[in-house]
Amino acid sequence: MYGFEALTFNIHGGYLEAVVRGHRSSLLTASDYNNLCQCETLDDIKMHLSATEYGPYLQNEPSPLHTTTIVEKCTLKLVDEYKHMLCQATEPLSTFLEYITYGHMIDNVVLIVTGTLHERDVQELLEKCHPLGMFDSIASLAVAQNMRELYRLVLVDTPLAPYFSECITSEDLDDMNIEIMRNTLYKAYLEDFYKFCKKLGGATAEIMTDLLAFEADKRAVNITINSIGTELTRDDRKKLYSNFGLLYPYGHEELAVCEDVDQVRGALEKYPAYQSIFAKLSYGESQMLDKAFYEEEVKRLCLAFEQQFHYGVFFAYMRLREQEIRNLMWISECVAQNQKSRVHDSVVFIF
Amino acid sequence: MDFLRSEKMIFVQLIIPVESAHRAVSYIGELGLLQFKDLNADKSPFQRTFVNQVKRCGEMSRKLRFFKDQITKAGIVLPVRPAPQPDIDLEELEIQLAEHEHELIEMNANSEKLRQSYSELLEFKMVLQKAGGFLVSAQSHTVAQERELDENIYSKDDYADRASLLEQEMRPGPSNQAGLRFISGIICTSKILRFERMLFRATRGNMLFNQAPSEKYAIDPMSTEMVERTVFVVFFSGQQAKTKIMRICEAFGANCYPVPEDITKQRQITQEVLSRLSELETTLDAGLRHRNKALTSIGFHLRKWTIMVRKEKAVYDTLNMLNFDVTKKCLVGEGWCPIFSKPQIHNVLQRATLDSNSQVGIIFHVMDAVESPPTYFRTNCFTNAFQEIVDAYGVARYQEANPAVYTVITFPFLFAVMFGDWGHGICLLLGAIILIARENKLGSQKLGSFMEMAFGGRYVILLMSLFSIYCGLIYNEFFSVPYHIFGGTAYKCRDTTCRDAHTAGLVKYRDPYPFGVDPSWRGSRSELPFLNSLKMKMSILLLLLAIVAVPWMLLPKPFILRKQHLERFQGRTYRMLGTSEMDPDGEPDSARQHLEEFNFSEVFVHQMIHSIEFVLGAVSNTASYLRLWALSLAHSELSTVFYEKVLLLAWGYDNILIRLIGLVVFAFATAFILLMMETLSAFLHALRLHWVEFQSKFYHGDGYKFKPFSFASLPDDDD
Repeated sequence: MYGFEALTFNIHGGYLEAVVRGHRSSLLTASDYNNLCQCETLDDIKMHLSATEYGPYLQNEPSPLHTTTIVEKCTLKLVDEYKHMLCQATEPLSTFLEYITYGHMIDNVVLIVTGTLHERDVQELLEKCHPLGMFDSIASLAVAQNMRELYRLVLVDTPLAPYFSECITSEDLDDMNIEIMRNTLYKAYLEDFYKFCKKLGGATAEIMTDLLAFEADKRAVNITINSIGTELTRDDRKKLYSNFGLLYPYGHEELAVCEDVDQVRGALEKYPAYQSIFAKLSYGESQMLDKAFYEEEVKRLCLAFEQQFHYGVFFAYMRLREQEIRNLMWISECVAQNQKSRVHDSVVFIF
Repeated sequence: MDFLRSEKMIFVQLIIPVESAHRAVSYIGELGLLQFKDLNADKSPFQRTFVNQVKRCGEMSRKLRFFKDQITKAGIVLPVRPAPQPDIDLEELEIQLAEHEHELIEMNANSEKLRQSYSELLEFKMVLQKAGGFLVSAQSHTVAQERELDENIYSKDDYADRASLLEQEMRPGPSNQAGLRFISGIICTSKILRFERMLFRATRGNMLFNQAPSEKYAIDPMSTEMVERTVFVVFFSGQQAKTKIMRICEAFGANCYPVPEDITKQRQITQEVLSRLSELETTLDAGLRHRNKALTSIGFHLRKWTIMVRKEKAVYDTLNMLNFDVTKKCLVGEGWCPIFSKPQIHNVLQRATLDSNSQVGIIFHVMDAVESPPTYFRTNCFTNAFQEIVDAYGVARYQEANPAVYTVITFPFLFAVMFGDWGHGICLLLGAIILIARENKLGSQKLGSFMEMAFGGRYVILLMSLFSIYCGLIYNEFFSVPYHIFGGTAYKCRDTTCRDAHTAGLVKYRDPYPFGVDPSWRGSRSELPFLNSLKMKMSILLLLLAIVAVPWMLLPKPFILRKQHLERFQGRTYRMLGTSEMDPDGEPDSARQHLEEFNFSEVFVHQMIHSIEFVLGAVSNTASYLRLWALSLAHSELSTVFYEKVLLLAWGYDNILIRLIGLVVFAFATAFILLMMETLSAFLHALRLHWVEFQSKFYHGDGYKFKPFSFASLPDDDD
């Protein structure tokens, strides 16, 4: 179907593409961020945001604001937009939109399971869950004692069920297990999403495989850096890497044996696409790596809007909005804790 | 008042001492004839001078919204005419609002607790009633099984004994003999299916699930929303299953209530619950009354307060557009106002100085402006709608000829050419008259979007209907029935029998019909060709009127421009030579110099191109103007169809029922298709003819509207 999207895309996808592009134009700009960074109190932030699309969501909040309220309301806006788009979508766009939320679903499952392991209140945990990753029986995750039960009781009903095939064990849950479960699930999810996008074909496949490959590589690097110095063996580590992306397969071989951050750097610098990321960092530094990756991701996501007639814009919009909410959270935290000098540390400008 | 040209505007500067600034701006807001220019456009909202006041106003309006929300939720009807109340200033109001909010939140918190326990008890009552029923049936069932069990497996007696001993500690009840226990509770109906499935999976099917929907909607104690809920009883065995089920209940937000199996005990508890319920009810009622009283007292002033806060916020927003002067003692504002309003503004400013006991007056003077002034047409309720029609295409450039003046007549006329039917016109006229007669009443209330549109354009509808009647008379159409209003027809049959009327035609025997189309054309063989040629010629005539202007437009403009230029140039030559040496940067004159390099042939060629474009446009417009004919044809044909094929057909039957149905269908078709749909389509086409074919000839429409700072035009955020 490649090349013919222009002919047929607008029959089902035209309206929503227009909607999502409209939403995109309401993303905060660099001048907005500059103004936000100058705010003295959270009230100033609220006041500034009230002139943006966030206005109606924040206007009824009583005055001593908290960072959580701001983030919660901003997320609510994203969720409302997402739900509206999902309601309007037809196949295969609706499936595509659902795929976007599976990542949050995995995070929520892990959050609840870890929380119950440390005997936290389920309601409290539920409040912390990302609303996009909610599913019906999420609260009953707390009942399960091991992976097998987790699967059999709850997850079998969710879209995550097929991803579970690799991690059904009768082992009791502990922190390490859960982290491995998260990464295994994520791997399966990314591979599935990748396959789905390939199947859609056309510009969607072209753009989404790029974005997902970057995502997979980013995860591979993160897994490597986080697992340095833990008891995770090299083979286990390698099993967690997704089987696609720019680094697959030779980069994975190298990443699997890395012992420190500089070795990771050495492995990645062989790939021209990632050279620019590391060019900004000094040797031995891993704190700023996250930001560098986010910046690169935002750049790629923005590029998705340069083409028309594909679903990548929906993915890109959701990701950009999430990045914006992360930015807002960071700015409000800095303002609330009087750490304004650090505001620019983690804010990624979108435009 | 000048309809054709917009008001002359002047750019003014205000220098207001700080102490009288607030009052001056609010007086100007009452007057509503001055458009402030934002002098701090580069500053973000919270860097401006009066940001704190704006924030406080925002906070107050949030509180007011909260009150309004609470009042609507409590179902209190606000009095239409609020109680008179002494004026209070903003600080007092702020304190009052804070007090009220505090009081209200406290009351809500108190009643919240009570309400929660009340709805919990209510749920308990429901569970008792429903689950009691299950238990009775389950008991009789188990007793029967028990007997069987006793008879068959008597040898395992000691095991059963031990089990029952264990049970007795946990929960006394008859069914413990079977090792069977139960949990009863209540859950949202929407979750029941998933809940059951989860229970089934968790216990591997070793459970029995009973459910019964509660009769009425109940309040969820957690979210205080009305939801449909279902009572359930789960029977199961084993301690492990119990913990699992309890956790699932917790996860699903199901509220569990213990129900004793003993019937007498059940009754006892039910009694207790009922008495506590009635107790709580009275307490809740008292609380509610108290709260409603508080809310009503707030409601008396709510509207006034809301308006006041909105005005204050607008004043501070406007003050934020002003600049401090060097001494920080005065605020400097710039803006546009129409010339006629100068004395009024002067008056108002003086009053503000007096009222605020300021030592220094407000300086108000006219300045030169670089940018072009805003366009301001003073309209009345009659011309307003027409001006809106033009503005929707584009706001006139400053002092540009206003097409709205012509639109007042041409628009309804073009509409009527398409909608010509004096029967339908009369219907429309009645509607317009009703709207106009109830103007005062309708104007003060909120209308639906469609009604609002019709009301806004009531005078347009009035003129449209009058012209429709006129055109209808010319077409001689009345629901497609020909009438002999202006005397008899000019034609008669060839002979007395009228046999060949439809083949050979009629003969003319006297002067033509005095006004409009002769009624004899109706139904004749050549009716359509005749009317078509009439209407088409009329459309083309309307077009020709426009084309006649071509040579007139082609020639004079270059000559006029040349003459103007020569006159100006002659007077200027010496002065410009003199100034250009002394003033090398050329200051504001330099811009004009560029404009004045006048090339006659260039202007002429330009004008030629314009004219050619115009002629070409006229050709394509021919087709556009033919829509006048096409739509009027469609209208008359449609009404003929409904008249002949529905009304006359039904009248052909000698059956009252069929006639009635025919009449109803005809009436509905006339009302909805001919009156509403056709009105809209004719309106649309008239609109297009104005915007595209008429206004594109001369109208630039690239100005911007005059938006004075006015309290009257503040957005009403009631909804």
